[in-house]
Amino acid sequence: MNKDFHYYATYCAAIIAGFSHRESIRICSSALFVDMCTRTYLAKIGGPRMAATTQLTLEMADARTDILGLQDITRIWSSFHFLPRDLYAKKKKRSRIYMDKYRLICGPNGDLVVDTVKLAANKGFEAAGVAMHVLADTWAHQHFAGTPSLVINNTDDYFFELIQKDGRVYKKPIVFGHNPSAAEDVNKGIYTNTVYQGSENSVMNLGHGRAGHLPDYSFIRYKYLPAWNDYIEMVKDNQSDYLHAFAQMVYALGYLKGRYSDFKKNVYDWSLIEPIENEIRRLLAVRRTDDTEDWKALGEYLSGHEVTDFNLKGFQKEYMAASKGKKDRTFLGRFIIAALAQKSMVTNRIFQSGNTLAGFSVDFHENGFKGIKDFQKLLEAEKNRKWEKSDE
Amino acid sequence: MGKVRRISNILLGIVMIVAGIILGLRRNGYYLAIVILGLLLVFRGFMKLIYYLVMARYMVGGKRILFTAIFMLDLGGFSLTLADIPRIFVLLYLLVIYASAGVIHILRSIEAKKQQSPTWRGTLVLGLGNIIIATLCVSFRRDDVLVGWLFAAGIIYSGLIRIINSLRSTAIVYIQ
Repeated sequence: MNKDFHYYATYCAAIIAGFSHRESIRICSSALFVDMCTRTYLAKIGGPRMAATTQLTLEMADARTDILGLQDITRIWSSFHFLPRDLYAKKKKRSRIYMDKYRLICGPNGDLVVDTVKLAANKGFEAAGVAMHVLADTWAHQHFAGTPSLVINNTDDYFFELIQKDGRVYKKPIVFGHNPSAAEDVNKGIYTNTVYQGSENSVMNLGHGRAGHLPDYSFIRYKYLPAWNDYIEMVKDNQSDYLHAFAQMVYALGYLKGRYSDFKKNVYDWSLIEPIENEIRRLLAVRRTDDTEDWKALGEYLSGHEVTDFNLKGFQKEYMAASKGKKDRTFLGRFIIAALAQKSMVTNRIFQSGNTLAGFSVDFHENGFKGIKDFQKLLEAEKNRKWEKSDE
Repeated sequence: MGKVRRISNILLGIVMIVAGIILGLRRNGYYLAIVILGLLLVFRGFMKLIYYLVMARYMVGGKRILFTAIFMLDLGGFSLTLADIPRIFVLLYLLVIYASAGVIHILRSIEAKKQQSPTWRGTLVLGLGNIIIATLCVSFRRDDVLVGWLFAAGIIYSGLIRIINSLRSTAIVYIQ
């Protein structure tokens, strides 16, 4: 998913769920910032590097692919962009090392989505934004894993777009090139993907790189052969998936707003989006790689306010100008704490399932603080929150 | 290209240059070269076979890994059996492998050009260099000292190209 969905569609979902314009801007800003918060950026503003929610191209190019390097990559991509659907998935006659990777395959309506949304409850708009990014990506990025793996994330040349015309479905071959600077042509079916790499742990085999940006485009319906699915072809209907992601975001934000007492899997707020459902279906179906203009117009129609562009400079200025004790109350400070909490939770769940691909997780309540120093910030934030509550 | 891969490629490049120099200077240097080549192929083939058995056999297109493993093991084993054969036959065998690598480089270059990848020129130069050296070796096959030197020059050239490629910045498509 791109800026159109993570920023403007999230804004629309927040407005429908009952948040004000200002609150919705904070939520969608946080949702978008998940795709921008790299180690390089955190070093620039003096934030904790462990709060990185994504990696730059050059960071990826120089990423270590030894055990520690792979764990670092997996923590980032599994926590924020490829949330695993089932950490206890079963498949007969598979080796343990294979299953560790297989269980990290992303998908919607897993237990971790529930944990993610509940983790954001009562933690502010920034935490809600982080949770919405993760939730939305479970729909777009399903069937791929947030860890480098040839045997999971590879695909072969069998790729067809499914085009509906005059009541019939036509198959149109999809052609991939590997030049990152070459333009994609949605009308000719020419897209860009990563080059085949025979090495299991090559970063080229991370996530949906082998399927290019297809999972990020709302209009496309296609079928392909994922490496892990025993030669059974997979049909991916992005229009339907994106609509479900939107309806689930409205429901999740309703829960975070306090409208619902619990957040459950497989529940969508269809009734709230019913008045604009046709418009959403229409804009999702347009053949283009960016739906920004339509989502923005829809957001402005829903709220009656202008939806301004993401204001990173403003947030950065606020963070840099704040004194040390007050940084955690700024947008970036709150985002950092939300990101650390999400990464800590997902790493813990993966570790608890007996899988060490995301690294080791130390349970603070049993063993005290023995983890990576950056995560100390979570403890401080928790203490501060308790004091703020007692002051109230 | 990651740091580990970059460093291992540079080290391999240095090993190739040293092996090339030894091959050129020593009359029996080719024997050392073929033993190293054979052992490397057997080791990599064995590792690929384990990877296939543990993981890749469940993957769509995983047979490709098995065939690569068997081919490497077979080639490695064959290489190690060539110790007692006259020098000229061993060198011709090495040249066939060398020329095959050149053909593969050229095919990869054509594929890269079709996909508008900027790496095609480098790959093409590498492939053509391999083919030219192999052709020269066949042309001067009666002079086994000269053939030895030409082959050594080829290995040094491949090592240098490998080091240069490792030091270049590489573009990677990554998806958010």
